[in-house]
Amino acid sequence: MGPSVGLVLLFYFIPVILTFLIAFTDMGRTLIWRFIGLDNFARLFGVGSRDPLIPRILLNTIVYTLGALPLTIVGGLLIAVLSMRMRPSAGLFFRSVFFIPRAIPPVVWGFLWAWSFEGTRYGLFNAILAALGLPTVQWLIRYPMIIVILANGFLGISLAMLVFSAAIATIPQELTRAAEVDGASEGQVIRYVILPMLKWPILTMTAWHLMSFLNSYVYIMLITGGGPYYATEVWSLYAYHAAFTQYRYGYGASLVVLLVVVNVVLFLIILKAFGMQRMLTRGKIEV
Amino acid sequence: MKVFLDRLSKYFGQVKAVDNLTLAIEDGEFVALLGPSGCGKTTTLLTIAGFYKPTAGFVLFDDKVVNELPPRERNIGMVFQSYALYPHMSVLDNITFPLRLKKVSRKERETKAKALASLLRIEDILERKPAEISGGQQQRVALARALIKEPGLLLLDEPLSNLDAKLRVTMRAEIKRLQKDLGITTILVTHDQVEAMTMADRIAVLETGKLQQVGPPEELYNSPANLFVAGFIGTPPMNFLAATLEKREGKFFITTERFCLPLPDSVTMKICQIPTPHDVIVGIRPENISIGQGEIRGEIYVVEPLGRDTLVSLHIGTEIIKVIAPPTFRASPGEQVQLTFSEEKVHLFDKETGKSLLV
Repeated sequence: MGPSVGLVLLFYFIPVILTFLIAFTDMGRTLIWRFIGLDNFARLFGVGSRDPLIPRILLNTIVYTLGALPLTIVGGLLIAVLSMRMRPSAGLFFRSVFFIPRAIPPVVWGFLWAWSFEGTRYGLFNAILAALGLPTVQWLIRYPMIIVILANGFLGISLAMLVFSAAIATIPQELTRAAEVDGASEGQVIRYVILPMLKWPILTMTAWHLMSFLNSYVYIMLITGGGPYYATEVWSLYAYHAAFTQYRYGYGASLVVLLVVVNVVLFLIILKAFGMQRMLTRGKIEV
Repeated sequence: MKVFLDRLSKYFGQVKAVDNLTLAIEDGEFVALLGPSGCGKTTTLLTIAGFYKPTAGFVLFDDKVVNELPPRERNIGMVFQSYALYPHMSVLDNITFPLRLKKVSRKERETKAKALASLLRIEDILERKPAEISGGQQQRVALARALIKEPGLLLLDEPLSNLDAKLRVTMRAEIKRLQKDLGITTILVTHDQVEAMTMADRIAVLETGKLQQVGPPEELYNSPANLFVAGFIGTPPMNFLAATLEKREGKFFITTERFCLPLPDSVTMKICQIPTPHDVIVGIRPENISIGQGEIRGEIYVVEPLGRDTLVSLHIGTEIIKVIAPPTFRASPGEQVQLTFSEEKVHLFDKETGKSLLV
């Protein structure tokens, strides 16, 4: 056990602790530790020398998360339920199509979206518009947020769809058959039997993607780079930019620490909302 | 509701799960579909329920073809082997679910559910979830859910197989009584011949998708149409011995290497047209053999006291047969005994076709 504990300490705990400590410094390009107390956090909360971009970043993050999360969960459910209730071969085809985003490298996925919505006549959609004799659109300037939400949403859908499909596959066939005999239409089977039994997968995927959308910035960086002019700059991307393009390590760390706190709080709220306590304490009698 | 299966076939690729099955079920009748796993009984039931479309033939309810009707429009109630209770709903919600789908008012559906619950003695558990009640209670809930919309046809798919032996005997009687009280046409699928014998008005025995025989339990027991039915119905099963049917001086005999048995007139009447000698399989039930005296010699293999009677296995030559002896019977393995077959109760089957020569 000794060496593995060492590895866990080295690669998990020490970086976490270091990040936490750096958040209280004004560490910059020189990597000199100088503790400045709560100054970074004061800046974040607009006390003293406030960061004027914070409200914008916060709004972006909320819009982005509230856009991509429902798209992921509802879209994933829709595709999973429909594909599992159709002919097996057709269902497999649809699931395979929607799994593509996860099967290709992130850079390719990001590039595909960037290229599709490219503002010149060489972008896919503009090429289509041009072929139809319509004026081209500066997609990434006019609708940057919608585009990054869609790009991340479809990526989310691929995982959610997979998890929901697997969960639907475990629902005994006798249950849906019983509902049909009881008089349920296809829609009622889904509403009264399938969806209630997906409660835990939905909880898991909601929590998972909430964290994912709050913390990941890769696709936004690839598609818009956070622009144009901070239009798609979300909290985690802002932290990345602060730390690794502006070399304000101390400030970047404080942004991240705050994000972790928000993550934990949101996670607890979700568990509460889905009645985790009830699931854990429910009594069972052996059949 | 009357049910008529008209030359019904269901194939899965090359596999003929149900093969040209014709069966008429009267209104209010309790029919069991009996057979080993893979005989097509469950496929038949699911086709009647509407989950499978027949490959050929027709399913008729009250003289109307329902082949294309989806399950929800067939006015059937069904109890599944696993009970298939909705785990996220309370017992009450499970029972009232069919009425909820019919948009019956909450008050009315709860009144109906409570009446059924008291009939099935589950009124104390209505607020619980299925995971919180016992297997026997789950089954009652499943029955209540199947019955609440007053269906024309009740389908039971191995409903007792998940219960322990004692509870099975109780529920067997309760379901039979309930069926008689409600007068609802019922089809039971089972692989357990005791279940079929005890509960059903008539039994249809299936094997590899084909109907072997259909009739009341006594008829299947006393006059099996072929070797399969003879061997499947009855515990312990009928004994079979290879023999030759011979005719000497106008009288019929069955002869084996070990014994020669004259046949009584009651049997002879039915086989007088058969050319002799003829290779046959002799069938005799364990309770129709007595140990003590007689022409046939056997050697005790094992004695199993069952309390009410004693099950004796013994060798006749190389074959083992089972005999039901009185509870007082005692013998040790290897002991030589003499046996008598009740000739009136002998069954004869054609060795080639397996068909009974007596029906």
